[in-house]
Amino acid sequence: MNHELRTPLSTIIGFSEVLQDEMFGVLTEKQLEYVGYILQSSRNLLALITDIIDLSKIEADRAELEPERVRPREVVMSAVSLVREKAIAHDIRLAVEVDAATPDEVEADEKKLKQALYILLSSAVRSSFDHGAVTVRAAPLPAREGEPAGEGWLRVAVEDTGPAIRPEDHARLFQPFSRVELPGTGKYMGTGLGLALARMLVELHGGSIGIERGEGGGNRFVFRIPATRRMAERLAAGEGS
Amino acid sequence: VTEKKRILVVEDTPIVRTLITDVLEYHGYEVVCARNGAEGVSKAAGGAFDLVLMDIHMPVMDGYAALARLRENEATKGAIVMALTSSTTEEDLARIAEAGFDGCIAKPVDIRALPIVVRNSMRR
Repeated sequence: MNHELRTPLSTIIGFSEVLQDEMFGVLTEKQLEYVGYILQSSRNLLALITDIIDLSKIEADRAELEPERVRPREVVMSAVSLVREKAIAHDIRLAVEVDAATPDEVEADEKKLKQALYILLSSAVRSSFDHGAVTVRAAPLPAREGEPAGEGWLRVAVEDTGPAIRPEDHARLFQPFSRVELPGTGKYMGTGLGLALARMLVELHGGSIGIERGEGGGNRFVFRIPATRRMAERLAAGEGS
Repeated sequence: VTEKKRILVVEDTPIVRTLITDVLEYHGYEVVCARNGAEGVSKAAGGAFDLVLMDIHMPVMDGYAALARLRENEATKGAIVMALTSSTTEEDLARIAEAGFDGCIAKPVDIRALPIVVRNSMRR
């Protein structure tokens, strides 16, 4: 499916770039403007298709977890670096707080963990608007009652200063293609698949994801994943403490 | 006046062929096209090309088979042949390297990067 969807679209992008680069003749201002729109829309569509393919792979359970020893601090810093440019452009302050008790290593799929965090970060940067702040916090979380005792969880929270999403919209946020109003802005968040994808990536680890009201009045997206695969397997087997 | 470098583009999708050809011609190359591996092999034997861009998945004869034929023929065995492919998993890339391609260009082709990759591939 990948190939069939991407080939025609990338051809549209390729020819549009040829026009935009004026390889075979100068364009009028209006024509350049329109070519710009074609490119922008095609790239959006390509990003969406890439998301759909990712999602369908995970849904088909073909996405296998490749767990390895991962350093949470490095994953956080690397995901943050991916949104830094955009944050600077909108004068959004990015802060990282890694709790001192956070284990140096957890067992997770580094790429998928980073992808989930990147999705939350870019969504937070988008909904914080100009001059806001986005804070990432990582901390260990002990096993709760009814969960296998032992290694516990890694908890990661991404907090924004955007308008708080209404509680009745919280569950819908993580559904594919949801559009949720950002109160008071007349704008919507959720371009379709990002948060649904993040949820699946987290759940693939045996974890869970949610949203709560942030201290600063914004939104706090929180996920937790088991710190070790042994813990994840015991959870999957339904063992209690 | 330096002579134009000649590039053979072997690609089955007409619109992709047109895109690659137009971009390369714009950048000053002389381009000849072939629609599948078999046509590519016969055109390569007939003219001295500085570079061959070879699609992998094609009807009649795929890129691997075509490369093997090129390497068997005295006239074309030294040709610089780059694979054009949309499958870039580790296994695919390993197979492409093992087959004896001189390099790989990922599809969809980034037309702004293409001239740089093409120029560098002929530098050896």
